[in-house]
Amino acid sequence: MDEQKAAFRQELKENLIDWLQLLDKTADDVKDEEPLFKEGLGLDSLDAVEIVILMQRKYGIPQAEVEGKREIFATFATLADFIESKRTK
Amino acid sequence: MKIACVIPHYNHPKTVLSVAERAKQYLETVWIVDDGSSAEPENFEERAAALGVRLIRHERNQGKGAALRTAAAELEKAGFDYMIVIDADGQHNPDELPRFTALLEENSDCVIVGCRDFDSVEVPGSSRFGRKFSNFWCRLETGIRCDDTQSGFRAYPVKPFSQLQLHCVRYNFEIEILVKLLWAGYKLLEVPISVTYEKRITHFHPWKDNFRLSLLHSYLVMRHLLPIPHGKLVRQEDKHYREILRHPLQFIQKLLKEDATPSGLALSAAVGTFLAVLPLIGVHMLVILYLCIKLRLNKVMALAIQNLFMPPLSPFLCIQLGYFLRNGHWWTEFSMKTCVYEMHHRVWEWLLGSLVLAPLWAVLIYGIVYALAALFQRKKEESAPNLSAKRGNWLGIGFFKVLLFCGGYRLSLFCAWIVTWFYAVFDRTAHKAALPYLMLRFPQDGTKKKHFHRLIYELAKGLIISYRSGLGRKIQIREEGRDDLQADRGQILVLAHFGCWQSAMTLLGTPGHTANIMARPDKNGNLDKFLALGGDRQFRVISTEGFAGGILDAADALEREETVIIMGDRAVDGAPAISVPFLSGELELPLSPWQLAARCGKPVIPVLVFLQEKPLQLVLRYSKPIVLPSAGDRKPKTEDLKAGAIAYAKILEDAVQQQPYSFFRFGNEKN
Repeated sequence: MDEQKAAFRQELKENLIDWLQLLDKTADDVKDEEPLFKEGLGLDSLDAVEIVILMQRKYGIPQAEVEGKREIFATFATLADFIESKRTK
Repeated sequence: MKIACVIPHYNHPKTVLSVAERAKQYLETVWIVDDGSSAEPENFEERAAALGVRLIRHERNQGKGAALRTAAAELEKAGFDYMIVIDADGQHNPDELPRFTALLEENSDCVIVGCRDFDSVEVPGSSRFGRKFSNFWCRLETGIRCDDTQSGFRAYPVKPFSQLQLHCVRYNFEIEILVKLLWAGYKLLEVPISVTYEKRITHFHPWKDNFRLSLLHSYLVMRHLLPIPHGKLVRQEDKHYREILRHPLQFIQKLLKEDATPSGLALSAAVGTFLAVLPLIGVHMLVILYLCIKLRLNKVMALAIQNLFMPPLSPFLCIQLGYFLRNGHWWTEFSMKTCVYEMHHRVWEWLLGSLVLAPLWAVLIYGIVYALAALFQRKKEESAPNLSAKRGNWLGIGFFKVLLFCGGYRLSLFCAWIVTWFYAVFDRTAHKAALPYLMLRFPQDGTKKKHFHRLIYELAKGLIISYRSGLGRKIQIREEGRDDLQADRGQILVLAHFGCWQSAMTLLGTPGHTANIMARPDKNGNLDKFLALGGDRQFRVISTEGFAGGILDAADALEREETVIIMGDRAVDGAPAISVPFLSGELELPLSPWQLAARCGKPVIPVLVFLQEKPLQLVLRYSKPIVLPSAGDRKPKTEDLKAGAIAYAKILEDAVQQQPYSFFRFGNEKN
């Protein structure tokens, strides 16, 4: 993994923890290949909505891009790759 | 068990050999019976032989039935047990042969019919009707329900072809053999088959063959009604009369359940009615019983309905009508002369009048029984948590609309009162679902049926009112607290399953502004109809089935300063919810309205809709807006969302304190 990608992932993890108020977690707790929801990071559908809004506000990805693509929320890695490829800011 | 495949062939030169070749993959023995075709494939005999398929020929065309009888006779000689018949025109798929053979391995003494799935393909309407018509007659003739009596893809036992007296040779043969096999005691099995309707050549002659079918059905029905038993080819299990005597209750239960589908019950009631009105003095019961046994109708229903037409009222009406038909005026002179000396005239008039009234009564009773039975049975299939979502349907069906139209509001309410008692007593699932709420509201005696009855009666009343306004009798509407609305700045209107929330949907919008209703379109079939009533109020439906339960779309709408309407008292399956204090226990409320409110910084305005009597009016009560701290670039705090839900539960609590029987959010309250 090149450095730029690693740096982006680190930044995204911090943003997620901050936005979702995961107070008991640090960036290192968010594992790349672990599921985001339920058994992994333990997020729920309230959080899903928040992630979409985060993507919209911080990375300029319109909501329409996300619609119907449940698979991008599978793991942190899939989410990060998606945001990296679609970000406009 | 030896099974052969038989392909009757008449002028399908393009397809017959490929059907045979494919059938050969599944069955060792495949025969083609050529029924005097004038068009056949080139080198037919050689190519059939090359495939290992035997070709039997009729010199001249005799009909499909004749072809099958020829095949069966030969197969019986060769020691075969079953033959699977497949059409030569390619409409059946030989790859489905294993479905038949698999069933034959497991069952004995059966006939298997391949049922075409008419829902999945484009089928001409006439075909659809023809099939239903044919199924109906077979049902009448055998008492057995077969879904596709016209299908040619079947497995027949071979022996009965020589044992049964068969008369038909053309298209009617397939009906005749099926009915007679069932009479003879063979079991009917069905397998689903696919069917192609493209480029199909049929040799069915609409007039001639339909006439033949009508003759056949008339014969079969009459034969069936004769009090002579059908000869059995299959040993029947002895009926356990002793068991019946030992368990009379079970016997009665069985009688009641007999053919207890809405159409079956309605037909039984209609037949009972028809016969009860006829002047069959002294033998009503016998005739009804006989016909019910023969046609396998529900005997209890048919006999019970007879009581409605007990003398003297029903005969009197018939005589009056007959008298009117003969004399042009009503019978008003009741003297020794008219009643006794002219008795034969009265009997004649009775018959005349009953011939007119019996079918009319029968049709009416059919309709009423059907509606009631459908009402009663539909609710049986419902699952508890979604009761109120579907309840609207069972009470909503035509019955009350007709009643409202003919009998008026008061009569409808009275009927609803009776019908809901019926539910209150028998509908255990609904009672179970309503119990948690009733126990919270009436801690002393919440289990009592009177509370439950009141609850569903109020629900029915709301629906009747909404139909009433649908019939053009506008109801007066009073709005309380509308000043706090801000249709031009975005707001969340939160509804509860309280009062007549359904009929209020259209009233919630503001003319000139768009309101977004969050709902499950599949569970709210009437939504579109309701929304069409909205006039200049614009509505859009946001499906809660969509991504993240439609929350993002709703947030978008709020950003556009539109109104979002959402149910606030029950979470969609799997959506986040929270338990908050309610009465002496807890109530589980969805978090989504509160998330929207915090996320978009818009006020939540709870709305309660209910009926008020004297004068009858619909009240829309808007509560004071609940405003949550705006979340900004953070996830909203759970405590904030909970605070919103608690405030809302308080409003609901006040509402049910005032109107305990208007809360229809069944299920999952905690005590």
